[in-house]
Amino acid sequence: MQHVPDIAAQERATALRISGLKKSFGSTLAVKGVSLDLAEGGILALLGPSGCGKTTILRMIAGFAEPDSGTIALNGRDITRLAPEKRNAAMVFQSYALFPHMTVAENVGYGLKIRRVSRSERETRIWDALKLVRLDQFARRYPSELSGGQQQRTALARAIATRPDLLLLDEPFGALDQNLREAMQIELRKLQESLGLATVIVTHDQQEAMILADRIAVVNDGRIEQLSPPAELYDHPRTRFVAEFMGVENILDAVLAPGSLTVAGSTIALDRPPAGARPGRDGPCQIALRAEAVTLGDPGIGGIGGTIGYRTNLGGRVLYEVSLSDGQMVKVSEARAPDLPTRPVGQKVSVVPGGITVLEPAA
Amino acid sequence: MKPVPVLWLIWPLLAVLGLFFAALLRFADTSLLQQIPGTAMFEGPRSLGNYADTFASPLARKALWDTLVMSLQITGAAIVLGYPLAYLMARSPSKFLRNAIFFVLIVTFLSGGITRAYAWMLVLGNNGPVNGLLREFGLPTVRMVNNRTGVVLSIVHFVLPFFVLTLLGAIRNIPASLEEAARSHGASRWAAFRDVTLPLSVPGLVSASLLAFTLAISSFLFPLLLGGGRVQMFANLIYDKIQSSFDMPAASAMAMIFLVFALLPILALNLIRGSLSRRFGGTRR
Ligand SMILES: Nc1ncnc2c1ncn2[C@@H]1O[C@H](COP(=O)(O)OP(=O)(O)OP(=O)(O)O)[C@@H](O)[C@H]1O
Ligand SMILES: [Mg+2]
Repeated sequence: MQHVPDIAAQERATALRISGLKKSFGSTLAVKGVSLDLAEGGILALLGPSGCGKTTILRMIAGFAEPDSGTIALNGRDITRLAPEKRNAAMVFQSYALFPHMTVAENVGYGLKIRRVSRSERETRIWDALKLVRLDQFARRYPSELSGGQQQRTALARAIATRPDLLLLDEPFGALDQNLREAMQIELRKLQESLGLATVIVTHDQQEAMILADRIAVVNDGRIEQLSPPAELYDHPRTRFVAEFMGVENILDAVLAPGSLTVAGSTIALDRPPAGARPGRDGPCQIALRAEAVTLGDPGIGGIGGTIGYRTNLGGRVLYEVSLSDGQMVKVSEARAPDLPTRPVGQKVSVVPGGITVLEPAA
Repeated sequence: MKPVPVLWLIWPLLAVLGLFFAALLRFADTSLLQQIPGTAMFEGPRSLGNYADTFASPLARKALWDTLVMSLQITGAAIVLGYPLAYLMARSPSKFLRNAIFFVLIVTFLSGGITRAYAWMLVLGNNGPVNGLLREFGLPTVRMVNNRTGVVLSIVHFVLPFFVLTLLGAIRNIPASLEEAARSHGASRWAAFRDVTLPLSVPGLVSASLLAFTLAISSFLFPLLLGGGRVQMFANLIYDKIQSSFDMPAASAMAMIFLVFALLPILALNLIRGSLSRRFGGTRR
């Protein structure tokens, strides 16, 4: 599949532009040169494992950490060295950081009060923000009298009440249980879309990034390893790190040649170059295959020969582990239904790969 | 291993408390007796005469008043000097600064009272560095020993570490992300402090001030050494009563009066602390 350029995104102006951002703490290089763009109204996720530098990037955007080098521009204005309060970028903290001595309404109105918005205007905007997050019943409560989800929504309302140029969220759903988290993710996405608010969200949960973001930057060890729309990231990870992080089940050693791919001694003809293949980069490589994109056939139909080593019934699907002749193992996930026969362990099969993605060699 | 029933722990506790309380009761009882003139002994009948005598004595009334005023001044100075120190120690990004403040406070903490009193006498004395500097600039020198200035200064120095370390814990317990949240919503550094950290630190500030006040009001050593006999705080007066006239019952009565005066502000502040933490702790029940 070719990457379809997001024409709408290209037409929109750039809200946030980061280039060459670097930051070290003592001798630790936390961020090693990060560049990215975020279109007006767009939502970008910084996705990566613990300690990769996501929070540090976000804190530099918010103004709580000063970059060693690089620039940050918001709506065309250089904000790299600006005080946090002058950036008009509202941050939602993982701990929510609600002011415990203020009511929900006072919390939400704080940014407006600081901006000297008149009392009547303030009331209206607090009310609007609270209605958006469905908390209008709770205006007079204190944060300690709210559930986790309500606190989360208060923090969100407080951030949007000032109509910031940029919304920053650091693991905003980390403290919520699974059901509530999914509900809140969808709610946030709708809210963000309806307000057209440029948003950067930090998360280590790939599913959360998929649900929320229209572009995902996978961060590894202080660098952006891939920046793509969610579907492309899911289907065609560029590196082994991204593939593993996105939960690709199979990463296989293969040999690429023009028009064909050889795995474990079996050669498959390809009618067009697989994703990630570069002209002139034939030879030994690694490929990523999703278990659900692989199908099993009887031997001789032209795939990779193997033997079923293990079978796990997952209810609606069956997961096979197929051993190849060179000792590699392929996980295959097939739909299961009462009238569909499943394959027994030990059966000789042919593995027909789909959605092949050639990974870049490790740097 | 079987856990020790918690209730058993109450007996040693009661024994210790009982001992202290018995001493206090014995003291209270003594305050009702009379000295046998010319001796260190005392006898009945019990009366409130010693209390009446104390309140009738201009010397005792002045000492009580001075002690209260000075203790309030000392507490005020501890707040003005100590709050910024505690805040810097809790929030400064400079590790050097945090450690430097801590070091200075701990050195103060650990050096003995007598050492510090004599150090202050040297520093503040008429030939000390402070007056030397004033003389250098042709300014009139200031008398700072053998008067209230020296006493107040040395006691402020004494209570400051207690005040700062108590308040430090309270400020550290306020998440730094609250101030960051305020700033990301448009508040300047000062506004974020004023709206968030300051109100949330009020309960800790009250505790630290109470501690400073209690320590200040019971000062004995610093007025004795730096007051040059001219500054009498109440503890010194009680001491004199015992040392010069062996009048244990009169001294006991003064001590009981003093105890009540020392406890009053503590009780009062404790009462409003309840409502303070309701206002500033964020829970309303
Ligand atoms: N204030 C700091 N002082 C020293 N080192 C820091 C500081 N903040 C972050 N680091 C280091 O920088 C690196 C990146 O940290 P960061 O908090 O950005 O990671 P993260 O991706 O947000 O991780 P997580 O998912 O665990 O929150 C880590 O190695 C961390 O130890
Ligand atoms: Mg983080």
